Amino acid sequence: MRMDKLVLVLATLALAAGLYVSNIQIGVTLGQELGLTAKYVDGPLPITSPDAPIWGDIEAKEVELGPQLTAAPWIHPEPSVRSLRVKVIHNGTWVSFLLEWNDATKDDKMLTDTFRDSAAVMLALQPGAGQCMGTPTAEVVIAHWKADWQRDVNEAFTDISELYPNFWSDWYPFAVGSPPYTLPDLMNLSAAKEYFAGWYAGNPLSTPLKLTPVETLVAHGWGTLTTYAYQSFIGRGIHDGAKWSVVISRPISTGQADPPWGDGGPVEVAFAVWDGSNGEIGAKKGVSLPMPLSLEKPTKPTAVTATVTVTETGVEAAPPVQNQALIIIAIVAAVMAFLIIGIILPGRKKKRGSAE
Amino acid sequence: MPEVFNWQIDRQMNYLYEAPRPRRQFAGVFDLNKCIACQTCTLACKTTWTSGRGQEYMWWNNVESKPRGGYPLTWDLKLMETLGEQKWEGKRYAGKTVFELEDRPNKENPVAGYFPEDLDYAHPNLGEDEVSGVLETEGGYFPTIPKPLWMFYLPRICNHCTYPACLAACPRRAIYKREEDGIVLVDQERCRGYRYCIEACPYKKVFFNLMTRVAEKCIACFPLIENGKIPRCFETCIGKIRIAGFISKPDNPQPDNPIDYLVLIRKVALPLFPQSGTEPNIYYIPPINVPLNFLRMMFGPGADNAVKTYRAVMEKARQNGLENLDDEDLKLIGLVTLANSTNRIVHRFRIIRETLEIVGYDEHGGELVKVPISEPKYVREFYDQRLKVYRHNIT
Repeated sequence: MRMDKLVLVLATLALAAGLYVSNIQIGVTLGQELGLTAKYVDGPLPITSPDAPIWGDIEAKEVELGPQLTAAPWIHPEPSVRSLRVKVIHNGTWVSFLLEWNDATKDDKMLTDTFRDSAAVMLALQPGAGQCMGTPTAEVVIAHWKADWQRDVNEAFTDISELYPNFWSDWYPFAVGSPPYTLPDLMNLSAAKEYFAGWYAGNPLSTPLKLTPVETLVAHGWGTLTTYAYQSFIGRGIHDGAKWSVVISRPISTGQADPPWGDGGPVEVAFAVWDGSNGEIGAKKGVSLPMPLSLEKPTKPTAVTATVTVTETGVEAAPPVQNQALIIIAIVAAVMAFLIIGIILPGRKKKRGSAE
Repeated sequence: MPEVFNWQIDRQMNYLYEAPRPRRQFAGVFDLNKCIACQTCTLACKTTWTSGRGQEYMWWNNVESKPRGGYPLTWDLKLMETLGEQKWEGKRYAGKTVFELEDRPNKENPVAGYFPEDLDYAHPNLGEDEVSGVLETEGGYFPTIPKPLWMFYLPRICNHCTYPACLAACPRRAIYKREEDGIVLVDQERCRGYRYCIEACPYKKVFFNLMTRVAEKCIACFPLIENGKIPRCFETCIGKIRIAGFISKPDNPQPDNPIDYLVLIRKVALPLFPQSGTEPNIYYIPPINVPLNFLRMMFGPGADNAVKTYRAVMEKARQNGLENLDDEDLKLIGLVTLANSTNRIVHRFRIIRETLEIVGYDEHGGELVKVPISEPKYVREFYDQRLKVYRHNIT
């Protein structure tokens, strides 16, 4: 083998090895640093109370959010909410997430050109599903809290007269009596449903009667998000003028689309936030990396709370110092490979060319 | 990205999906020379489909005045802005379609477009009846021929495009095109109200229902179509400007199909903004009183020929009489006369030269309607002996 080819092969091998090691180690490191543990609480959980005193005892985990760049509509580089404070607790029967993020504008009305604030918790039902809304062979279950649903729950279904205070309509074909027509009266008419196509078709977004602001969905890849037949999440969100505090809760075991908690996990969890004022909806959102979530064992009530964790059944990872050392080695190897390919080899060729 | 053939721009183009043409494609022809903006179509649609709470602002069918009007506001100008300066080379579009435009403001959407503001829908008839210039300074009070000022009415519904932009933009694939008739529908159960479709549709004919919080659009009255009947807005057109039917594949036009004859054979009916690339299936006979530059922008390079043909046929009929027209010209006049004279879909037609009539048939060959191409003419005496009065109007 000629010398330059040998160098090229070696450089390629070094690059591949470097990237392989760095990928593995970066993944593990991130997993560790972003890992969550649900603190065990002995007693009932504040499953719909984001302002319950107990949350003050739980340490929050700052979760970074970044743009979603994997699936169309794929380019939205600037989600306005870049971090989320997460607290998780459980009592052996229920698990509750408290999500808090800064957002000065409360977007809970849907006009033609306005979008809702919302947040989601995604739990993998099989290992590896936490990346990208699941895969064809690994599903996720998603809890999606929506600010407009919260408004519906708090103040009854948002009517046109609330969206447009000067609104007036003389007549509806399904209405009786005379204007102004009020929504509850209209909705109660048997013929009304035929004039609300989404509701008639059974779309949960269109249903005027909302029991909870949280929708339970399942997905097995991009574009497959579907409302789940068994609605298991509940919750509540409040806005204090500067931030949203949203609690999302669910029984640990429902018999339907349960994450594989096993002996306390871990299961993969990821978070997303949409800022309506920034036009965020659907794939346009701030998302977190998937991370392991474990349930703290009831026998260890004083264990670490929702912070960095390496669980008993979790990923076997090297200590952080060693991880960092390996990453540095990998990066140095990659840089050397590029130097060899980009500078040394062309230089050799040039010299040889000039000699000829 | 898959390539598809768009006959309206005479070339292959990129589309997000491989999109074989449906088995049949619903289509319509609107003769803009006859529209009087009575809005009967608009109200027929409104009372049939969009009279619910949350649909108040929604007009699946609307009639706007050109060049000033537009619903939603300035949708056509913004489409032109989105596309930017592009070129036709003869009948081939050398520019970029909404699926091909890489340099666009809404990069997160796979289809170039813009998102209308809430208030853009608030004045559906803004600009109604406003003419192209200033009456006082441009000779509007004492018009000459050709007229120095102009305007016309543009009735619009969903174009049920062959390559729908709304469908391509939906990340959930909640919009679908029916194989049996090419009608484009929003799955009301699957839609999650993301509204990428509203941003993508060049014609802005997808709407957001404020109560159900999902997208809705014209459904071409598919329950009627399925029963061989024409949509409500066609049926109620009192100016008889509308013809509903099915258009054949562009390489296989049927001379006795009304839509094929006007669109593919005589080429007097043209797509609206064909440069969008969606291959819209509502076709317009352009108004003959409007400057060709404007018509070329709006209906593509076929505008010159369409106006010339239509004008020539009408002129011949006026000067020589219908009975002296050749068969092809008689068919053209016959079809715009037949229009929506029946509430059934006319699949085939035939003219009867002897009686100067046109006959429409259903898809099984059954006769649906027979219409005189020329209205019977009665001339009365200037002086009525019986009533002992002079008449002012004797025909």
